[in-house]
Amino acid sequence: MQVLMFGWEFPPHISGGLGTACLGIATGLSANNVKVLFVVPKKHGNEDAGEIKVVGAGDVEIPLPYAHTEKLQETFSYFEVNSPVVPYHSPETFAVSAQTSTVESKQTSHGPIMRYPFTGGYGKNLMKEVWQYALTAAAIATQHNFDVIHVHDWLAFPAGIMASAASGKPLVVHVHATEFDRSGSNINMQVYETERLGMLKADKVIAVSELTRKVIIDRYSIPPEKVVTIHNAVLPVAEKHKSLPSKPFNEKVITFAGRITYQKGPAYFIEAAAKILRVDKSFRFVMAGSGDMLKAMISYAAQLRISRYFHFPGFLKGAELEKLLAISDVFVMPSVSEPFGIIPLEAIRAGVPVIISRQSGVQEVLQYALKIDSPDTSDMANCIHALASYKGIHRLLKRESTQELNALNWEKQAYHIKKVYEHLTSTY
Amino acid sequence: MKNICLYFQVHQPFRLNRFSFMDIGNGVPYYDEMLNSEILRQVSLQSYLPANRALMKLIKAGNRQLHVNFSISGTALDQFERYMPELIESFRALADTGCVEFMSDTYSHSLAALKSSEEFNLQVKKHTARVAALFGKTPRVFRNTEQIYNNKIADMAAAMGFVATLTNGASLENKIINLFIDYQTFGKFHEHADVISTFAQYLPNEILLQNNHLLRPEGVTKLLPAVASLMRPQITIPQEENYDLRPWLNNDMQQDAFDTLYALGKKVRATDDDQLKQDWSYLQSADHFYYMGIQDPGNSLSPFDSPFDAFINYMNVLTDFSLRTDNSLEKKKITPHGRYTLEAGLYI
Repeated sequence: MQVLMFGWEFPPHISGGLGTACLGIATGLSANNVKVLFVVPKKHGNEDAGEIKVVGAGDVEIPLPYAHTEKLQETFSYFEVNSPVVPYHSPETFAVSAQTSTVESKQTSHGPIMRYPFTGGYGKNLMKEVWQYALTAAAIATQHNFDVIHVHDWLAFPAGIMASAASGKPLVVHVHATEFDRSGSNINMQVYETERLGMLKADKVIAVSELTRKVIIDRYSIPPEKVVTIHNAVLPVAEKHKSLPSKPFNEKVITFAGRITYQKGPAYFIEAAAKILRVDKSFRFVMAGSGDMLKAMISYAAQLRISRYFHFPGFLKGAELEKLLAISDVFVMPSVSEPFGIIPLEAIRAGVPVIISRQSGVQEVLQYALKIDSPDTSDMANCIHALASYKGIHRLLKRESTQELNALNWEKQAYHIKKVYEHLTSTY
Repeated sequence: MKNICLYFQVHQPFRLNRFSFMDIGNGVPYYDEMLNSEILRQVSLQSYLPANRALMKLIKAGNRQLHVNFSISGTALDQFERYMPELIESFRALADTGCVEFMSDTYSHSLAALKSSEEFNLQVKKHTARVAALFGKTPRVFRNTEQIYNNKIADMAAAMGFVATLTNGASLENKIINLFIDYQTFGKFHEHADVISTFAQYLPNEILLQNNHLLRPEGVTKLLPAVASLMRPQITIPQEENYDLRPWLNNDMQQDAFDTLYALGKKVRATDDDQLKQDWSYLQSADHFYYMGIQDPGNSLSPFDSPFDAFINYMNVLTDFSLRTDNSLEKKKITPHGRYTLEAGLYI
């Protein structure tokens, strides 16, 4: 079994949980004897991990004029009508116009070829890059052998649709987050339409939680039988850091880590902290991450006069995050909406018991965690205080959640994904 | 012929208020009066009162050979007095028939026997005195919380003058069968109210019809003089211990809470604050630990959403209680009187 995978990011170049999950899925599939070719927009050179082959779309040569199968032409028209990611009226005119700007092209003995340069970021040309990525995907799909296409989140959905149209292979779209998770009710319709298009065109939709599956069914009107939940897992630590730091002070360390955006509930965390500090000063709070609300949160802590108990170290990953977790007593994920939330699993892996939002997917797989409704900051404060103060519950949650984590591994979850592939390829 | 002892357990704990750590040290009440009174009212109307009426009817109908044994906890009695005084009257009327016997228990249905013989003695004496005062007869048979039983407990009870300590299960080559029934089972778990009267009316009669003897615990000791005190360990059970503590003391939370609670014992006993001592008693009810159990996912008796909630809430209350205990001892130290001063000082 071979899978052609598309995803916007892949470790070590990540901005959040998506890339981490993609690595886990690809690694788990390899362990299940599925060969993975993972296409990112831009390859940095250090992404390859074991059996997984990583390709940068920017390195792929595309023949010009573009191959016109009837099926592909149909898909172009479909995009043109339905998807706002298409910035030009046809691939030909797009290619021509691109040629005059940023696209590298040259003449070869087989005719002209071209390559699209990608930043692979999330900048202002995002929509254009998404469409270039999709055009490249169609070319890649004709250049490789594989059985199934699997794409991660909306940025890669057009790529999946194009690759499927070009190759005739079944398409699996994997929803790690929806626009509703990212933007609340104030959604970007371009993104929503692209997500919905991917789900409609897909042969199977994988949701990272029941919570997300429900959103896909209810808010994207996808038939329930087409959507399957396969929970995320976490990879074991590659190498144990021998010299993890010990805490340089006596206070309890309560940690938040994630994008500092409205959906992650950072303000609730600060309010809960203030409630604790009002009666007990033996706590320190860390808010790791960056995002559009970082400055506002720094100001909020100052306004509540608790800045001296607060630390804002910025976005941490890898060893830096491990170090922070090593000195943490409690990890809190107070998200307003979290399709899965892989980071509490990383905290548990580091031996830190967790408090998680009931509005998260990860709570579906954890029994030994304290669960909160984020706006109830009094309850959050009470849970933080108890978990940091009463050793009975700290010890119990730490030990038992580690057990739960061990039962949740990517190899097992990837087995379920492989079953989806097998079902699709046998009925296709 | 089998000899059958029929026991009804009546117990209600003082369930706790939602008590945040922010409430610690602020004089917030510990008990959920609304919930406790409502549960007692419901259970009384569904079970206790109709079952008592059924028993009374049987006795008045001339079933004088009928003997039923009650174990009513001190916390239940306190709640009767507070919320449903007619229950006291109802049980007293049964006591007056002479067909019903009351046993002694730890006052708050506690697990003190496992931790402190001093505390255990105090609680059993308090309960015995309470039952004697209410029903006019001093209990002579002891029944420990949830029939938790071992040689040490039997010895402690014997030393206090009880003629027998009850335990679970059949004994004496199956000649005696002890049947323990939670009195609130009548009605509560049955849709039809008739079940109450069905059981109360037919079970004792059925047992008698099948040529079995329905006995009082005291009757057992008369019937079998050779083994004078029936429930002494060498007779009743082959193994040393006959209990399973897992529902109450299985996980880290239960053990931490239990240890934290009993670590306060000496301090509390050194105070002379009655309210504090009453709280100390109520906080020992085994129910609080049961609510923290994880093994039983359908912990339908718990007023909490999760065992974690139960633990956190209890520990917050206990932290507040610990502060009050320290304050009480501190006050006592400032105004010394008598021989307790030195002892109290040791714990400050």
